[in-house]
Amino acid sequence: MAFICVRNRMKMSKYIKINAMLGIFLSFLLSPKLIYAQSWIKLGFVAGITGMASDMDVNMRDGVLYAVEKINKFGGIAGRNVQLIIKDDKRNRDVAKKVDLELVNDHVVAIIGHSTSSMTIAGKSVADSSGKLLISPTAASEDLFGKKDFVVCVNASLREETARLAKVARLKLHIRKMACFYDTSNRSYTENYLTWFATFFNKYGGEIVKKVAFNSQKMDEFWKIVSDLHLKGAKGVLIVAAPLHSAILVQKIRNCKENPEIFCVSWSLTSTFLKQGGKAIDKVWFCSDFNPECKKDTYIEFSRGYKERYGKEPDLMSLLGYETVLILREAIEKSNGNTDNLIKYIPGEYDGLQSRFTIDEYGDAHRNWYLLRVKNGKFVTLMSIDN
Amino acid sequence: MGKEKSLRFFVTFWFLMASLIPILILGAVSHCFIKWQLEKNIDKQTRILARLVAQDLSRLFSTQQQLLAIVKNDLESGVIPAEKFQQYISSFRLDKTVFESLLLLDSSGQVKFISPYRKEFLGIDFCNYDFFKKVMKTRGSLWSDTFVSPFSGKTSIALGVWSKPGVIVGIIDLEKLSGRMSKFESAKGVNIIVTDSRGIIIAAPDKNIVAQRMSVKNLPVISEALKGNYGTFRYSMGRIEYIGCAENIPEIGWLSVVTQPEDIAFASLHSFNIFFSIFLGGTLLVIIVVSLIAPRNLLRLLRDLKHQISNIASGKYEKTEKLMKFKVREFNELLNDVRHMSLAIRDRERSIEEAKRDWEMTFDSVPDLIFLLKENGEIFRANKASADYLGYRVEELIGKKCYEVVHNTTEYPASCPHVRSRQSGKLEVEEVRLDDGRYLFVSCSPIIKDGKFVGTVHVARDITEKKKLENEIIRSKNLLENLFENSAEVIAVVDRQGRFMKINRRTEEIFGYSRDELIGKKFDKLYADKNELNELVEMLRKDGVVHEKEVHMILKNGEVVPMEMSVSLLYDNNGQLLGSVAHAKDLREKKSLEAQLLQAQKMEAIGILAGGIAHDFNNLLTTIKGYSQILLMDEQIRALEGEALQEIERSASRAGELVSHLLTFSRKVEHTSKLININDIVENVKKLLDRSLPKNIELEINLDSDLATIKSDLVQVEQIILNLVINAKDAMPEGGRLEIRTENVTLTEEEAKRFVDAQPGKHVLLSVIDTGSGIPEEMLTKIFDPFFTTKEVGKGTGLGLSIVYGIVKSHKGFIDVETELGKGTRFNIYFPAEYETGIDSLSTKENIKLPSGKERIMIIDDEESVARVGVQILSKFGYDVTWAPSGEEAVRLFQESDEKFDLIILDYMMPKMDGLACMRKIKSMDGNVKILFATGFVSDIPFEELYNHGATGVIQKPFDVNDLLTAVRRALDEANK
Repeated sequence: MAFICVRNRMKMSKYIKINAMLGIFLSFLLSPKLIYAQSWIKLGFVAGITGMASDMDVNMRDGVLYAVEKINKFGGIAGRNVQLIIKDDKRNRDVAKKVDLELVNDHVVAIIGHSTSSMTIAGKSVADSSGKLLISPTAASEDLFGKKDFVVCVNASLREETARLAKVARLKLHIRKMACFYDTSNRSYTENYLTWFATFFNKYGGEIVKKVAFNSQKMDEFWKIVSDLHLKGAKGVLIVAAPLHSAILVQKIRNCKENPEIFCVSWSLTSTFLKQGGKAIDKVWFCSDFNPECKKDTYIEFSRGYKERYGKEPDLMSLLGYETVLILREAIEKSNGNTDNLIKYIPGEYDGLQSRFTIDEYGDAHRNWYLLRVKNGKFVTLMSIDN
Repeated sequence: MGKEKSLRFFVTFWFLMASLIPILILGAVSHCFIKWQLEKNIDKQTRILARLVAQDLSRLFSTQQQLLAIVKNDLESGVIPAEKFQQYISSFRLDKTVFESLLLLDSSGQVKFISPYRKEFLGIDFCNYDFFKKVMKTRGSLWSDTFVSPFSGKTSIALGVWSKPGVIVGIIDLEKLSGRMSKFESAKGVNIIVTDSRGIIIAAPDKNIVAQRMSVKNLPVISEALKGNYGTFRYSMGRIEYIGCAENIPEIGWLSVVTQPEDIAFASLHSFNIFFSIFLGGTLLVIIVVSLIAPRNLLRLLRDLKHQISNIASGKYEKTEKLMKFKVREFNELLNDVRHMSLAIRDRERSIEEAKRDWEMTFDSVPDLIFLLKENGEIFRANKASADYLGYRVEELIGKKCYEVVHNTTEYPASCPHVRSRQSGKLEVEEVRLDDGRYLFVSCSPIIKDGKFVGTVHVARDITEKKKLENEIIRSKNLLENLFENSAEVIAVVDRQGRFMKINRRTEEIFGYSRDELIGKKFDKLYADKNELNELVEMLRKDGVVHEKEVHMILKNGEVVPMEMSVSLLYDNNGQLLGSVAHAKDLREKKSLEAQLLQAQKMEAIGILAGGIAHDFNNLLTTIKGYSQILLMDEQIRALEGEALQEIERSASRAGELVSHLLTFSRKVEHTSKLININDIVENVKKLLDRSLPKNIELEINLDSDLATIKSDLVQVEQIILNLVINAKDAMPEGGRLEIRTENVTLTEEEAKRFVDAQPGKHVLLSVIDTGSGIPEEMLTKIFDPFFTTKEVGKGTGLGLSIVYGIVKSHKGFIDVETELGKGTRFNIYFPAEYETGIDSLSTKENIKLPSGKERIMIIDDEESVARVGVQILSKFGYDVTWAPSGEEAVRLFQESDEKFDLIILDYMMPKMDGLACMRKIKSMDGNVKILFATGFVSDIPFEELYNHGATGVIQKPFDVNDLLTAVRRALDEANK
């Protein structure tokens, strides 16, 4: 009896073998890409890569894309290639949520984005509800910091930036009255920025004498505003806007009789600003965690490769985009393939392209700060500044 | 070998292979051909499309450049005055062009005029735009990179043309360019894009892509085209494979690119693959069914054939005659042949069976052990004898290794004939000893098959009995050889002609000849006396044997040696005389020992005689000396006859010394022993000799620095050296060399036998060597005799060597004298070496001033004169002294005396009751009485016994006044303590 059973089993296993071989043969013949697809790591990317203020987002995307291409060139992450799925949030909160949801449904391991704080806050609800990691290279609004959520900010908080900028304006340049222009299309960031700046500036004895809001998505409206500027005697002007709009505003402010010192935010620290600002941008102040004159080997190598790839110099946005992908790579490697709870592998110290930085348990970055100024059409690093 | 499979499997498998392989090849070739054709077509189509797009844009840009060239011409020609420029520009119908706006920049890059006009646009600075800088530099025209228009906020490009008033700039919204692409839409999935010289998409049917300003420079089709390599490329983007082609737009250096996903481009090939797979599956099914049905007839034949062959295999040849019939003639012929074959096999098998039986019978009848071994030593055939001999059954032996059953080991024994035969390819033999002591003679013949070694025929025969006999013979022979060779006697075998056939080692040692020198030579040349030889030969002839006849033989060095010869005749097994065998004993040692014994006996006799004389002399001298001293104590007598009495006393003292020497020779003088090093004594003597030896005598001292100690009296050894040195000096009146030498020697048993008194072991050798006249041989036996001297009368007492002899004997040593006339003499004194420590030191003589006393003393001595001297001396010094002439008298006096005696002075040697018996008696009466023994033979007294019985001390005769008084006082005081 036992012998018969064995024979039957042998026959069965023989048939199973034949069927399996046939199955594999047919699988290769009909659908070879099924197996191939298993080896990819999907990453989502969302930013406002079209539209008037898209320069910053495009540069950020290029930084991210450059990092992904480089990783794939050197064998991927833990032997798996990375697929970057790029989406455009059109700087619209509803669109932002929609595309984030699409990416979650596409089973990406993390979403890189958004570029502005407003969009990131919109996407946060999707991230928190799905448990998917949302890692923004550039968002800096204080609304995103100090919270236990699924959002990670690779850029430093605007609070750190405003504290330093207010100190420079009031205590270094002795400006008592300031006028402010800000873009309401990224309201979360710009208004938050102005609030914190005003807090610190007032603290040092300064006064905000004028606030001008505009929506960068409406160019006609913007041009109307810039055609009739009144600074109310302010000796300093703070522009919290995208590079193009900052560049135009700077050109127009230079014509004002007050001849004020002009301060721009890191958001405008791009080649677009330099290109479109003309001669007027000389002597504009910035306070940023980006050092354009960095001589560190890793940055020089990145800068050279980036320029070769895109034919342009890297800026803060491309650098943050690139570093965001490196942070994700490290986290995925630490997770040993279990990417469901990727956020717990993010906190730690990182050797950035320009300097070391840390990401704390809330997913908030802490970086070094520099005082910059435009000189002969270039950004020049004046000094490293602490609060 | 793979797993066994059924014939049906093979038939089906090969049928499948034969059918499927051509189909698969056809399918693969078709696939490749279709793919090749498709690739060719796609390449052609995409190239044409890309070229069309490039040509279209080229025309467009040429038109726009021409338009701006007109504007430039108008501005530079002066037809339009400067204040009318704005009006002039605004007059252009921009909606008829692709330009979104037209502007004139001054030399600093600021907007001077703009259409459509807006005041706030004026003054916007373009100086940092690359295209502006280049146009100003080249004074030509140039297309810009993409940028966001500050006026519209849209992604745009600009054409700048230099003119004297400024740079004329036309800005184009890229959406307009993209709109032109829609007219080129063709097949499904075909993408048409235009990139700038940096690889950034600037026009595409999908406006969103353009707005994103995506750089696609990394795609091979773009990067290669930017390097000037245009053509069709395949590449992957994300997970999707693409095929693409690029063409250059020469006016502006842009690229028109047409791409298509591969799965869409090769959709028809994909369809073919699906169709072919279905066709292949169907064919496979049909082939399997056909391959199962078709070979049924062939399988039936094979089954039948298998059945028939099974019958043959099981010996059922008769059943092969009933065969089935097939419709195929060849099958029937095959089966018929099988039947014939089976009958032929049957006949052949029977004859083989008979031959096999005969062979096996023979094989099992052979008494020798026969194995047939494989190359690895495994038994594959064994006969009955081998099984019986080794205690196995034949079946048990098969498969076992030869060494397992023969030697009970797990590997080949050393020098295994099977292994050797395997290596040499020849017959190899070996005698083998089994564990149980049996012996086998084994031969292994190689079995060669097709020129290759495949095993051996292993034949073994029991040779145990033969081997035992051989061993016994060898053992006996060896025993005899040893006896012969190691005999302490000379043994020689001589043939009938009197020539040496064989001699032993002792013969070589004694005669000094080697075997080669003697073998084959006549024996008679060794006889010193031919008469003795003749006599011996005669005795042998007469009696056939000679017993212990003393003869004299000549050694190789010419020395004649006495030997004791025994000879007997030798015969072979047939009683034929072979020769004779002689035994000879060297008598030299025996003779020497006999001479020494005689000398020793003589010396012993002389010693006893001298001892006896000395005893009497001592008594006489005691009397003479005692009375002389008593008389000298008297003042008056001393004044009258003092000198004469002192001369008497001196003479008596000298006579005492003479007696002392005699006693020394006869070894009856006491000496005190301790461990001494002779070297120290020699060093002391040397100091004396350095002053006293004549100048013509050279003294040489050679001392062994590691010399062992001896147990001796220092004075006596000094006396030995002095006596020998004095003799040596006297033997060298003309001068010469005198050497005193010490060394350690160890005497073996053999060496010790050379001397009568010698014992084997470690000795200290003291040698006194001179180069004097030597001692004639006839005097050698007398030199130790007392009073023997060769010196003139008055120059020697004749006691020097006698004293030496006596001292050496008392030390259990012995003397060896080597002398040669005219050359010198060597005295070798051997002392037994001692290594003990802690020997008592000599007591020093106390300087006592004639002690006295009043105690009661009895002197018991049979010699009246001696006793009287004692009585007088002791009485003179205050003692109450009584004399008893014998032991018996003393006992009586002791019993009868009312007053107790404090001390008894008792002579040890007395007739009848001797000193010891007398002491026992007196002690039995008064255990507290003190007894002082007096004797002339201190060395003969058993001190231990005396003291055990209560003796207080001993005084040696002849004693003087001082000796007596001191001894008495000490005995009394000791007793009182």
